[in-house]
Amino acid sequence: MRRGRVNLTVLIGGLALVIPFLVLMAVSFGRNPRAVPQALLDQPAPAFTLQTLEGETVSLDAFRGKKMVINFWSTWCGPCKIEHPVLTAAPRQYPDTVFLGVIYSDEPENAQRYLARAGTSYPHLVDPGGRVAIDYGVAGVPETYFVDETGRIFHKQEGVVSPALLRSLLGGG
Amino acid sequence: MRAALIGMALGFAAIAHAEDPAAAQWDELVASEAGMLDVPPALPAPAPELVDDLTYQIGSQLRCPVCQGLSIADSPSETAVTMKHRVKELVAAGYSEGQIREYFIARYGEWVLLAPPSNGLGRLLWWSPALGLLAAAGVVGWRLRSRPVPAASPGDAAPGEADPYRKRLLAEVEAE
Repeated sequence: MRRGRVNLTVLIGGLALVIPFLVLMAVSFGRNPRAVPQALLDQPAPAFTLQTLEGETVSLDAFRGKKMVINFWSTWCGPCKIEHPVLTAAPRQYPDTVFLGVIYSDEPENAQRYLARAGTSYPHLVDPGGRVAIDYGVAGVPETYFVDETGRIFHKQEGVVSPALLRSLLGGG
Repeated sequence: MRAALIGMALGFAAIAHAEDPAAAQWDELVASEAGMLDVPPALPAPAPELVDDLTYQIGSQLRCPVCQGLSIADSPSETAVTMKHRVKELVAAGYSEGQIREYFIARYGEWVLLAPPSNGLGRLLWWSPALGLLAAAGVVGWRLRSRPVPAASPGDAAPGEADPYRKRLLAEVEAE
């Protein structure tokens, strides 16, 4: 009986077709297809001038040379309420870092009512039309941007901020 | 108490680091905003009645980050509504379709485009089905051409000629 010989042409053709798919699968597995790319990472933080809930005007420029934590949140977002106590305690633990909240797709009155009940220790800014949120590439809340002393975004946190995350990014505490 | 804390935070940050060496670098970086906002609109502001149509046209090319395969023009989600609002602002200010696409790419990456761009790797994606078909046709054609054709030898019998039944039949016909 004649034993099956390997046809080199078929083998090479088959590998040429299969290998690109294997590479694509190897690269893509483990990656969340719905994850939004962090395009502004290592880029300058977009400038803004907004008003706090108390009516004071705040510009990003006022905090030049400072490390900053900019948290986008809203009262209709459950995880935002989970991280709120962590962020409220943080300015005392990290006095050299500026903390700012930006209210996302929510009424200022709702935010005021929530903060009166839950308390806060840093300014919360009203972002009419979500302009600043889109400037930062926000895809949902909570999202938190960590800006270094030179004005670059060095970390973007999608989801809840934990004490361990703050410790690892802001040091000490 | 809350107002005092917030006031302290704002005041402290504004004055305490004015002399910080990092501040100069900050000025340089943040002075020009990321993306296209440091360039003027490419076009004059469109007529107000065109703004909604243009917004829809551009919005239908941009992916909603919190939906599955929906454009921001077609999604009712909070994020899509916010993005649409920003598109409308930029359209009304006279920014061109290309500038607005660049603005969103700078913030969300090329992922934000529902259709991959037709340059670089995107061009390869656009052409990959046609390239695949061509490659397959090439392989099949090459295989057909290179298949060995059985050589005919003078002694080869015509099909069926070696059949014993046919031989016997022919012999009987000839015998009659």
